[in-house]
Amino acid sequence: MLKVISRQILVLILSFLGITLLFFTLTQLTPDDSNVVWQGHVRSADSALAQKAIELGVDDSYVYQYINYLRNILSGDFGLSITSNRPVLSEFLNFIPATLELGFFATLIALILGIPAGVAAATNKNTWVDSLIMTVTLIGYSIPVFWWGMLLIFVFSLFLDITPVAGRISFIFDIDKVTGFMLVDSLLAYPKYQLAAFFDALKHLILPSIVLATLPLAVIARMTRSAMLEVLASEYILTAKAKGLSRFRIIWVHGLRNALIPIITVIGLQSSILLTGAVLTETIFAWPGIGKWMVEAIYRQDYPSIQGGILLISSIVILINISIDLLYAFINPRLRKPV
Amino acid sequence: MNEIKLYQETHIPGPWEEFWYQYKQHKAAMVGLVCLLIIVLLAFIGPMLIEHDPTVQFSESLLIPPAWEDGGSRMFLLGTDDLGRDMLSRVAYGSRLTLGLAVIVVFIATIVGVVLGAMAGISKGPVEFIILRLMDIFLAVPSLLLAILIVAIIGPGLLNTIYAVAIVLVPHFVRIVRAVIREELDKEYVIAAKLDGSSPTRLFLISILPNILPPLVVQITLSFSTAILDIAALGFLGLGAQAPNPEWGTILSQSRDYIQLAPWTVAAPGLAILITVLCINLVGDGLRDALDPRGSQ
Amino acid sequence: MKLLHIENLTVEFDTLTGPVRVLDRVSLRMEQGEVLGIVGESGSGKSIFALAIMGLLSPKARFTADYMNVNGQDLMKLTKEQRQSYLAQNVSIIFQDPQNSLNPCFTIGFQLMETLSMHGISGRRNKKLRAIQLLESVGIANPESRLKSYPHQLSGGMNQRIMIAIAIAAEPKLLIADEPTTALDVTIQSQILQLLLDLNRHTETGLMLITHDFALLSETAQRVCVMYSGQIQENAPTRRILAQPKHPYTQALLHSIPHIGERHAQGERLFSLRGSIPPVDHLPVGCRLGPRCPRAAKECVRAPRLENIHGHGLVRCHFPLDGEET
Repeated sequence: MLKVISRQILVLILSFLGITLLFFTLTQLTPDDSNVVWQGHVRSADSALAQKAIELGVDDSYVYQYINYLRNILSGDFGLSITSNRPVLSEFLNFIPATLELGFFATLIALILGIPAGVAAATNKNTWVDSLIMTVTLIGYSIPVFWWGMLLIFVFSLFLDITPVAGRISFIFDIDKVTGFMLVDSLLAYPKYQLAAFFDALKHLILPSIVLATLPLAVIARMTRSAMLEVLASEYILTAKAKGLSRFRIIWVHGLRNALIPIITVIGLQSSILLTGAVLTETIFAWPGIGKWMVEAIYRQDYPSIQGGILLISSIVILINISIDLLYAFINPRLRKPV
Repeated sequence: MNEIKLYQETHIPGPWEEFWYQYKQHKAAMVGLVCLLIIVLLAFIGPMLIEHDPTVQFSESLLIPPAWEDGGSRMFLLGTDDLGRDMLSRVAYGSRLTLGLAVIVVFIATIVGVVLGAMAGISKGPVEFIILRLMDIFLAVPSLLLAILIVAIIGPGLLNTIYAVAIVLVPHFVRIVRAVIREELDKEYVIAAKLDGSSPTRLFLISILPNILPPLVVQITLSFSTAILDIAALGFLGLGAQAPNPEWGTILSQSRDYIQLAPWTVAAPGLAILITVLCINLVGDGLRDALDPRGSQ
Repeated sequence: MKLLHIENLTVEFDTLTGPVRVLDRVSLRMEQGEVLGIVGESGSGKSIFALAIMGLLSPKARFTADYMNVNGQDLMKLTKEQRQSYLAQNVSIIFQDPQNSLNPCFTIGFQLMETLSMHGISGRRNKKLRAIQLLESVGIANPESRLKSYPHQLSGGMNQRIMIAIAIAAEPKLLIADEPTTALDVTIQSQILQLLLDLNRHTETGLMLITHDFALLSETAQRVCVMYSGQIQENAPTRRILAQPKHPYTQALLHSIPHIGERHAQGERLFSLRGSIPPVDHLPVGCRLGPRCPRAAKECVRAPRLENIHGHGLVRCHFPLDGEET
């Protein structure tokens, strides 16, 4: 177990080094005053150190510059965004709550619908229930996210006019930013707007969450189905049946508890898929999260933001992977020490 | 039980026959295969049958609905876009572009992935370590963001899309190939072949490669659908194929603003992507079931 | 009242090449508290037979019987749910591989107490006390701390003891043991077997011992039922079969047991039948042993019936052995 986590931490360190090295190399390759282009501002403040470097004759060495560059990043200084002229880190922290809020609801939808759907398909194998669930999930993971979003906007926002087209909340509400999570902030603004702001925020959340949840939902449902089929064919299920346990208990206790082990692994892989989907979903619904921020950074060639954003996002993915590994160890008794 | 069966006379199917037999059992996969063949065929001959060029702008016929709608014209079966270009022709030429790009992308990713995976699988120590950790890094960055990062570095455009999406796909190939090689290397028949004095190359080609093929074929199919979706996504974000190119994602990004005015300009390319990816996934599912001896029994 | 009375139990599976009959009109009776051995090669249908009694066959299997009486109740007259709950009260089963027949995600205590609550024992403390009692009775040391263990933390022998504890928790009238010792070490095998026999003696539980190992049955079972290709070939008291098997296949099984201490002449071959058990979708015409039987004759293309031989038992052979030509 410790081995798995130390491997993940190694990945964290290595990908950190890898990505920074990549950007650093690009910095060196760019002919003009590259430090400005890539890091947002020239670093010369640390004059004592610079002086010492000149004395040692290493001020030009790439190693020195790279280490200096790493020091900045490790101290949380990712440079300044070219477009907003604000520190990249604070920009990131500004945008991340919106994405987390969206991602949280999407994951919730995917789990609440995906796992029961997979179980239902497995326990009704080769019936119309199974075929229906398999067909729907197949479409779910074949549909282009951005087109699916446009389709839902067309039907629910433009045609039926029951959901808003874009954004996190209507402009009529002036919500103070406290936590950055709109549902929480709109509740905190309770005396001002009663619950109207909260429901408005919720309405804004529905379509993007559904769009973002679609792919993970399909993957989780299919994985649950195949894990359940494997578990249901095992000998301990025969034992459970021979004991005379109810069908409900066999499926939802004995079956699902074992199937959860492979399902957890798949859920862990969704964090990366979810963030990919977030880029497209946020673009379509004008959702002010990191996905949209990244895409706009590219349009504006805001390299400090791209660099800092990708470093921070991959760190989040790896941290999620580490926590999934911990959860995996918790849920799989076979990984526990023998007594 | 009436007929007499002598089992010495029973025809025992070969691996290909067995595979095809299993595949045919899977009705949805057969539908997917037939549709996919039709799509590929259309990509080849479709543009020859269409009279309009995908980039010609008919300035008198802007945003004409499809032929079956009121105000539609038989000249433009699927209608026209905001610049008066024929949608049918754009989608048909787009199929060449999208499918062609996907083929190139998957081809590159397969070659690179198999080579790296084989290197990691056969060699132990630093080579394996470096390759695997490198792949871990790529996997830690969400795929579309990785592609965006690559495009950001080397600039948008058709060719760079190929590199970006291929790099995104490579780690999956490396992992699968390495895992299968590792698994096979521990098996006794490989040890037997080693004891017989096979060279490493022979060992790889004769003993190990045939075992990689089934999971590799499935991975290639799945990569196709990922490639198409990612190419379209980059096109949609304006980072892939550029404007006049009738790439499906690029068309969608242009017609996005006209979704209310001219929904057909959104529907046609989107449906094209959906149906193509759906067929590929159906074929992929069928292949996996037919190639996996556990699933087929 | 018979413990078990089955008439013409037939099980068929649909395959790609058509239906396949894996059990062909099997009829069997067992007395209360009897130890019955069922012996056969793998593929003879003996495990399917056990699963069929327990109603654990996959839904794809087609299952018919004229009569299937367990402890005075005809199962064929019950609905599926009724049958399952009746069987759970009266019959328990243990399988070949104890590591796989216990759920890896739950503790021993959970799995044991779950069975107890199915049989009217309520209250955490009561259940725990009874569970400890059961573990003690199957010879497990430190039962209280074992309750918190997971199956993978224990040895195969231990797990099989726990399976037996779970099985007897239901206080069944019949215990089916399907190859209970095959996956275990030889020294553990006899312990487990002894445990099963002790239970049979002390609680009057009928024991159906399914195995491929005739040697195992010779000292344990009162009757032996020999299966081949989904049919019963011979069914008779153990001592009569040991004294003189009437079916060539039974004789072959007995001959293929190597005896310790018996000296074989150099170059002498151990006895074995030609060929192997036919696949169920390519059964031979007539007697199913036909192509492999050393005594096969023209008549054997006609399927023999299971017939009673006076002073012995049931035998399915046109030319039963009578001890003269061996």
